[in-house]
Amino acid sequence: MREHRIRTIDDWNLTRRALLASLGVGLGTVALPHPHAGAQSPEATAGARAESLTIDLSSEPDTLDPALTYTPAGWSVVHSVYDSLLQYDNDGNLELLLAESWEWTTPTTIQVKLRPDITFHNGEPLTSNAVQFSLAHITAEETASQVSANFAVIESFNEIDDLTFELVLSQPAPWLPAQVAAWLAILPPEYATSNDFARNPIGTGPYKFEEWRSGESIALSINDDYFAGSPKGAQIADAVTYRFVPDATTRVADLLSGSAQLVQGVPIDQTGSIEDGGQMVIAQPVSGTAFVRVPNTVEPFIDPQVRIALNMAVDVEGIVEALDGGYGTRQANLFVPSSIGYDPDIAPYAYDPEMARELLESAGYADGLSLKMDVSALERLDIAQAIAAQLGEVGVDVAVTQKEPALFNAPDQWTGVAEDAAELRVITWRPLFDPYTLLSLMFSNTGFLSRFDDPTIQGLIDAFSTESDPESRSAIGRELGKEMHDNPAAIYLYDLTAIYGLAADAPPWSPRADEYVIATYRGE
Amino acid sequence: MARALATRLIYTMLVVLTAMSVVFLLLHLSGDPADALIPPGSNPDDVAALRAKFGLDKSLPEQYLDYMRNAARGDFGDSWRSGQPAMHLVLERLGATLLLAMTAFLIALAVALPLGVVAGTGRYRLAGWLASGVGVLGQALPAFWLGTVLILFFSVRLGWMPSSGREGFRSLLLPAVALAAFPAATLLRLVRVSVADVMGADYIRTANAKGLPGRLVLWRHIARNAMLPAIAYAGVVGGFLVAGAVVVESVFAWPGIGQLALQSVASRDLPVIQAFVAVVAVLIVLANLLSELVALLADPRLREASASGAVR
Repeated sequence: MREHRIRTIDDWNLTRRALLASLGVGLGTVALPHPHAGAQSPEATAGARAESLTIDLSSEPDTLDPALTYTPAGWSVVHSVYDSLLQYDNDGNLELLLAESWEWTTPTTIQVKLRPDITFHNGEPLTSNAVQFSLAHITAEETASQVSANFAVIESFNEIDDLTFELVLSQPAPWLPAQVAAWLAILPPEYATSNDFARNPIGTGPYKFEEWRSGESIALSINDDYFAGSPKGAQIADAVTYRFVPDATTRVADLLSGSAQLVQGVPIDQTGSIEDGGQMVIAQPVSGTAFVRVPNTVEPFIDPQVRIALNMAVDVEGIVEALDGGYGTRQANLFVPSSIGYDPDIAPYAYDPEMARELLESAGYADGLSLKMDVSALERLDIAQAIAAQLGEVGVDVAVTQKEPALFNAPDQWTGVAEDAAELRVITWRPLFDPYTLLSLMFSNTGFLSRFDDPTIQGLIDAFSTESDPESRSAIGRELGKEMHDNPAAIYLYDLTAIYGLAADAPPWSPRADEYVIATYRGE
Repeated sequence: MARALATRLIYTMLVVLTAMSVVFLLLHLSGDPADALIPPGSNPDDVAALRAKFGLDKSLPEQYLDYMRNAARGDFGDSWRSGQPAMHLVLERLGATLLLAMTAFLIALAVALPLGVVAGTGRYRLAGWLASGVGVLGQALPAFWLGTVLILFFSVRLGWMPSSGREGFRSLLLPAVALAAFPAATLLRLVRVSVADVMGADYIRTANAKGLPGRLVLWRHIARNAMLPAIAYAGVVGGFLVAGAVVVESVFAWPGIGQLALQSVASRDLPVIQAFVAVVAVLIVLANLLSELVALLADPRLREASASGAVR
């Protein structure tokens, strides 16, 4: 049993640290066996399916319309019921899901062939028409999707036959697959035209929608006709219930008392009680990153030395160790290991407060600086405060303000027009498989969230947005990453980690770098 | 009595209207409500379209009049998050909150009344200690903390109760106890003090002097008279229970309006917040009205006063 668990964790592709931590859990389990572990261990063999699985999510989805779902909780249900044409594996490789092939015939034309013989849960067949319908839905004005702009580049949809179609783009858009994977879940056209699919969804996914009890839970059941060999993996339960439990301590209690077998969003200080209770802690690196956005369009940040000094002044490793249980690695720029264009050879800034002070001095700020820093109420205030304290050590006095999410995200807060807008903003961003969206919105001179403008970096962002050859695009990404490291647009912090609790007697489950909590297992 | 009722009804309407207006103004003046609708990185044209779609392009007085006009018909608009009618979302969850609040109220009464009366007489030392303990702890322990401790002890350690959710009666007990702790403590103190107060009254001395049995004096004369402040306070408790439910529901993942309100505030889902406030205002006013009616029935002096129109 122990061997099985170690093999499974290995398969989940954890960082070395996380692996050690998880092994600690396994050993802990041996020392302190869970009362049910012995009795039910035969079920825990790979490929076994549980009769039912209860999953605690930290929030309730607002809707199950894939075009309007913007949270990991919502994605978890949406991507259980629906499939996209493509998806990413945990290393950031694009995989074919409903598409059998995806081919760039020219830099502005994509030819897609769908998998044959796929049916929706209501029996409707998957055809080119369904893709066209779904695309029309996400871009329709009345849908008011926040991501519709990402699909505006698609100029026309040409159906070639029932299972083949062509997308013609107005300009090269090598970043489009990432948008398709994340947002373009395929709807059944006949059903969706006349039914409220936002409340009663029907898709092609591994699980069928059963019931939504408002404020309480969403119940799914296994789709027995799900296509074999899906990269999503094999279903691990006949029935899946997602419960909405906002309080993290309660989620952990649910796991320990057996009310739930899988819980999302375990706070770092509660991993110990899960281990003590004989259950498993799973840490999955997420395709996402944390950083403090720093503008370069206003003083005192125009001189890159100042921005470099800020990076050197923060002991990111120390913060991760002290406040995040060691989950997360200091990053050199915005690219994380699962991103296109990630370069492991670019070293992050080392913590060097002495050097930071010297740089500030040579930039003309020997007397220090006085800055403001904003952090959304959804993010961790303690981490922002730790960063501010360390900046204080080098003479940069930082006043931290926590703002309600809606205020934090107001456009004039991003652009610095608002009177109380801080120069420094603590951000976490996901997904980052293709960093195009983040770069173009927040660091290009045309981005709505941007206070950054640098001609070299702009040129590279433009090239990164249009280069159609994957190899060259990846090389541009690495060059861009180097440039953004040397001429920083942020205090680069660490890559994100999702922490889950899984019952010792639950079937093996695969966490995902895109944070969808789907009851599937991708095998050894 | 009829006149008193009519006055109360007018008060009720005024309170609800005021609450709705204040919330409308607070929400609209504390920042641009459209911010919540606008995705990070949307282009200005989309923003303008969204504003128009939700009527946010009109002037504030116009929006206010629209809002009040529609609210009068029970139409609070559609939730910005889920697209469903806001009032429907609130009413759908109201039952769960009422069930929780009523159960908590009954638990509070069941603890506070007997214990308060017995402790108030000062005759039984054990009851005095118990009452002090409940009174201090119930007021000092925050509901979210108490809730978490209850879960850890009764669900995780003992495995007696479900740790969260709504699965039958057993799921109700822990959140109701967590919610009841504070009102139980305050009610208990109130009853205890007023019993002690009434004990010294002339009519009690008379009753005792008449040779009535002690138990009869205690329950018929002392307790009944001591109940009056407690009844008045019960109306206030109604408001507390709804406010406390916001916290307790979130700890126990109880699917009531409290959780809905928290989520809606976090995402500035204005229609749902406004519907929530309207419903809560009505509830609290009703709770007060109810407690006043009970007071009228229990206290002949109040009845006479309102009949002659001298008071209120």
